[in-house]
Amino acid sequence: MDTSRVYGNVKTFRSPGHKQASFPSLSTDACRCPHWHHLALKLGCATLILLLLTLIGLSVFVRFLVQKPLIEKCSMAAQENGTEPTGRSAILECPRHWQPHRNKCLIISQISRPWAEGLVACSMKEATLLIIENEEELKFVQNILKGRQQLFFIGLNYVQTEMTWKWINGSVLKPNILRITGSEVENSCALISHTEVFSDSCSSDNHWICQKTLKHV
Amino acid sequence: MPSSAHLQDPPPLLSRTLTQNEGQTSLRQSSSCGPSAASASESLSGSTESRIPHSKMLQGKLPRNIPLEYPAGLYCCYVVIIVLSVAVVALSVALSVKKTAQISTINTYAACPRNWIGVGNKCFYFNEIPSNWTLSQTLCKEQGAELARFDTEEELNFLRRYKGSSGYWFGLHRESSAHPWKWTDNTEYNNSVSIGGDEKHGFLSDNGFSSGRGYIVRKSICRKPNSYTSQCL
Repeated sequence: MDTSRVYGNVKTFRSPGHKQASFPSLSTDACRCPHWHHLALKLGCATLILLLLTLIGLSVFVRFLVQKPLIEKCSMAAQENGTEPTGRSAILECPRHWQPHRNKCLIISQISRPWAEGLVACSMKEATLLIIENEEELKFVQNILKGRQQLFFIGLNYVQTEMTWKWINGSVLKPNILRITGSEVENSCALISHTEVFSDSCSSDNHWICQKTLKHV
Repeated sequence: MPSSAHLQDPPPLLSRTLTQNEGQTSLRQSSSCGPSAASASESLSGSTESRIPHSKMLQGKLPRNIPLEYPAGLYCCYVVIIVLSVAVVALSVALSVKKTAQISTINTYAACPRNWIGVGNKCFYFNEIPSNWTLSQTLCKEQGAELARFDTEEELNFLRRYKGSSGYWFGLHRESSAHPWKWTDNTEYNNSVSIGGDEKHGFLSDNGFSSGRGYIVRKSICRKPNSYTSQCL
């Protein structure tokens, strides 16, 4: 009789054991669903990172395109060495943004103004309006101007008193170098395009070409 | 003294008899089938009661906790992903627009021919092939237009901004530097903007309005009313 009592007690202990067994199964069921959610979250995070990187790349690219190429004004600091009486200085290379051609450096203005203002602007760069010395140079200059639908003052104007075209260095235009289309009247200055040289009013607004001569010591 | 001894003896005897009675009652219960069945049913009911609330608690917790945490996070991720996707698409569109360098027309009524630009009720055309002033006017007329003029501040500002750094012939001309400026329809110009230079044919430069000799070849600008206006008329 006592032993039967003991068995009853054992049974009572076993029942909570069964209850405990049921817990893990429920917890495993709970884990499965979150696992899928975890996978979804991981995919979501990966997508987020990818999109963020793409966004950054595109932003940089768009900004790069939006930024227009800066038109840096050509400013030439006065070369002190050049001013020295010893004259040791030697300019063998063209300054930045200038186009080299034989012993000259050429540059095209970014703005339009009357001829006289172009002359002043060139002198401020220690240069002068372009003087074309031969046919080869004319071809070179017009080749540079291909693709530009613009007109450019050069250092050539009409001297009414002498009835002739003169370069700003005082020399007279030779007919074989270039031919000027248009009127030969007072206040006429020469304009060059990629195909022709015109006579226009010196008071007209146009771009211009400066030249700087390279010095060899 | 023996009487006292007798008095002390009864308590242990009484307790012994009580314990014996208890044992008998327990034996009786175990022997009977009814009490055992009752105890079995009690244990079953106890286990079910204990199990049910546990399962209820678990079931209750799962729906309560999981949707609160995971779906919220997922929703946030989805929203952010959508926002980023839209941003990427917008930037891509901006890139394509920049690359093609297509300038969107300012058409108010979208009634201008292709390659013409609408401003207010007018259409403007920028002729990029240089020609002299007279030929420029002829080319404009062939398209039912005239060399450009401006009647409003809006048109003037548009012309100034759109032309870039090149010079463009437009509709002003005069017989000599001593004569007043006129439009191509011979109406007199009101001198609202001064014109530089001493010549007889006006053009737009990046310095404002200038004048040059008519035989010079330049780009040009044409203008005509848009068809919406003409339809209304």
